[in-house]
Amino acid sequence: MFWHIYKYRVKSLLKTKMSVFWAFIYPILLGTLFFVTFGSSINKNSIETIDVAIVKEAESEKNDSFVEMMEKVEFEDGKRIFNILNLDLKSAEKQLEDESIVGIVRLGDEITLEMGKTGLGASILKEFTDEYTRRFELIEDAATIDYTRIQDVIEVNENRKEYVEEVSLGGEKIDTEAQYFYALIGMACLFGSFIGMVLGKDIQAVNSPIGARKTVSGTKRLTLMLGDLAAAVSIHFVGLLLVVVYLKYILKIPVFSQPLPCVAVVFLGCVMGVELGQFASCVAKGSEGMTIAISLAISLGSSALSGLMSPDLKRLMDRVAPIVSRLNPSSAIADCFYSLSIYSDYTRFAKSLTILAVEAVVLVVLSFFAVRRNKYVSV
Amino acid sequence: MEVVRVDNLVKRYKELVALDHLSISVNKGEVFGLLGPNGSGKSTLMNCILSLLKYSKGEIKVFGQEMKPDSYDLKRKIGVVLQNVAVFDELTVRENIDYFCGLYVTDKNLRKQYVDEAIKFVGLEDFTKFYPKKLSGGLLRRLNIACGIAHKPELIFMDEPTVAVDPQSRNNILEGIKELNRQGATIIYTSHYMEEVEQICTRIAIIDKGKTIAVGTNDELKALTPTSEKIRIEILDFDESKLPEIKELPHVTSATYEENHLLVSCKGGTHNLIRVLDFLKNNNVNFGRVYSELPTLNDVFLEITGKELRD
Ligand SMILES: Nc1ncnc2c1ncn2[C@@H]1O[C@H](COP(=O)(O)OP(=O)(O)O)[C@@H](O)[C@H]1O
Ligand SMILES: [Mg+2]
Repeated sequence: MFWHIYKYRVKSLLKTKMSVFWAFIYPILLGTLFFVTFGSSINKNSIETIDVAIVKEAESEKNDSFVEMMEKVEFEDGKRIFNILNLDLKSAEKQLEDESIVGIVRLGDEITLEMGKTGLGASILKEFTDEYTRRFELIEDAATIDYTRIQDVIEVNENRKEYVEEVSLGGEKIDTEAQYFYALIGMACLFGSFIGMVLGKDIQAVNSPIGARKTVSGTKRLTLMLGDLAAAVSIHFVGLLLVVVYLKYILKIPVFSQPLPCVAVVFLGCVMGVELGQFASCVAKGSEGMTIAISLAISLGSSALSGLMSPDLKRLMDRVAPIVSRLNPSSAIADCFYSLSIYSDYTRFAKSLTILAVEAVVLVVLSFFAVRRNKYVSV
Repeated sequence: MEVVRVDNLVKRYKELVALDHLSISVNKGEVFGLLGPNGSGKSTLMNCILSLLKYSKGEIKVFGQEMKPDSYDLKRKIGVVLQNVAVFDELTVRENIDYFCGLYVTDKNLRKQYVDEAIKFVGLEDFTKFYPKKLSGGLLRRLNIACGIAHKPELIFMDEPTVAVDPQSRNNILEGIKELNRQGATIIYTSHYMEEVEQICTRIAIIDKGKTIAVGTNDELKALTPTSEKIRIEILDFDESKLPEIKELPHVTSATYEENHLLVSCKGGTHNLIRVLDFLKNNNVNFGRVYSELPTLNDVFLEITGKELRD
């Protein structure tokens, strides 16, 4: 029964203009738009060699191997990450002031950093230095340092930094463009509500003749609902995966460096979106205008609050109403992506993902009860 | 055996009383007609029985059990063809029938057989790959019916399945309903077309303003009218002084002359027409065309409510 409902719902959704548009065409348009607006700057920033001044204040094995390492590390495309200028402290500081270098590394008894403006280059330099120091202290003997492992670390860092323009050293301020991008994906997920609306319309006798026919059929409401839901989520999900492939492999925007967890986020986002629409139409009891109003209000509202319109709004929300901000599905989706790509913070990722999952399940349960409550066509 | 029983059903839409202490009882094997003008409450009654609508008072039993929204076992024995066409525009004729049949029948082979039979039954063999939008009104109605009955239900509800249907499809539908009944289904059929109801229903409830005003077989209902035969004869310049004599003829209840037509109503008896014509010949009255009409359910309705069934 479930698969019967599923199969035919997939068929009919694929032929419904509204669902095809929101599942496939809209995200592709969005992706393209995004690419046109931000894409070029993202790619450029990620591959620029970083100018660093080195001021030697003491000789040691540790310092020598540090320089050696800096000269060695490369971006994926083979370009060197650092361009080293051997300067004295004074002229180095002058250059830092002029912003012609990103930072100064002082090699004394300790390795210390001096940096000017924050930015991608600065963060990479900081990460690199920290990592080196950490490793070196761990191993204690420069001769045994495993360069390839540091290389790996750099690569990971590089991966997770490469879309970021302006990460402050604490990693707290989030780059504007990345924020837009993830909020847009969140919005694409939530606009699955337009697919969910179709389902809600058909399930209740109160909403449509088809709903009436299903209601008198003696098939359990839950079966009808879950079959439909699964079908709509599948379609929406495939649509978004296509978009991801399109962004990553055709437009070559560096997104989704950790595919599996990202896919999980997109999946839950799809469930949220579709369920939102189904729920809205259950609550609106067949009024199409009302359904659209509710769906739009929630999906747009939550996208706006998650930083789509202005990142300041998100910061404001985080400060004023942190709980709302956390529970906002669009924010939760975006936060999952940040946690993965920017912070590499899996605990935070798991938290946001859990919020999403719980919200999705709660919505399913709520719409089930809404349908149950409307078991009669109320007039 | 009683299949559907409705007792003192009251349904209000806010102020409007749509069903007013209405009772009906339908037995197994019947084609039970609900006849009434638009707005008399037929669809409301049907939707209440099907538990689609909540009602204010009364009792409804289907197969001897109370019918509730969760009576899944009862619902599985029922087939429904509602007034509004309920099919997916995005699925073909065959897919639609298969979808709805599949909500009842899970066995794939059996379902295929049922779907084939339903398609044949409504005569849509040449249209199985068509989308509903491409079907004419009549064919669309036939599809709507096929979707409701493909699973071979014991009890079938049909709410005005012939509205806005061409004569050919209408005949196909009416014959189909009789055939379903022959195969053993009990059918509850609503319509505001008295000819249809007369043609296919074994028992009829006439409904007006949410009340059953008469129930019975076609003949039983017609016995309620004072007239059993209406004779209309075209006569130019009829001498109206002969009217009393005509009224004296056996079984004649009334005789009038209007607009060049003599109208004679009779109750009971046989050969009434011949008797009237003989009278005219004997009195050397020349007459033109002659019509003899048996009473219709409209006459029954007129007799009881004082208004025409059709507006
Ligand atoms: N949803 C509704 N809300 C308010 N009044 C209704 C509704 N549905 C039907 N009615 C009214 O109830 C009466 C019976 O309607 P209905 O059952 O559709 O009649 P029928 O099917 O015999 O044409 C009509 O007067 C109609 O206007
Ligand atoms: Mg009606």
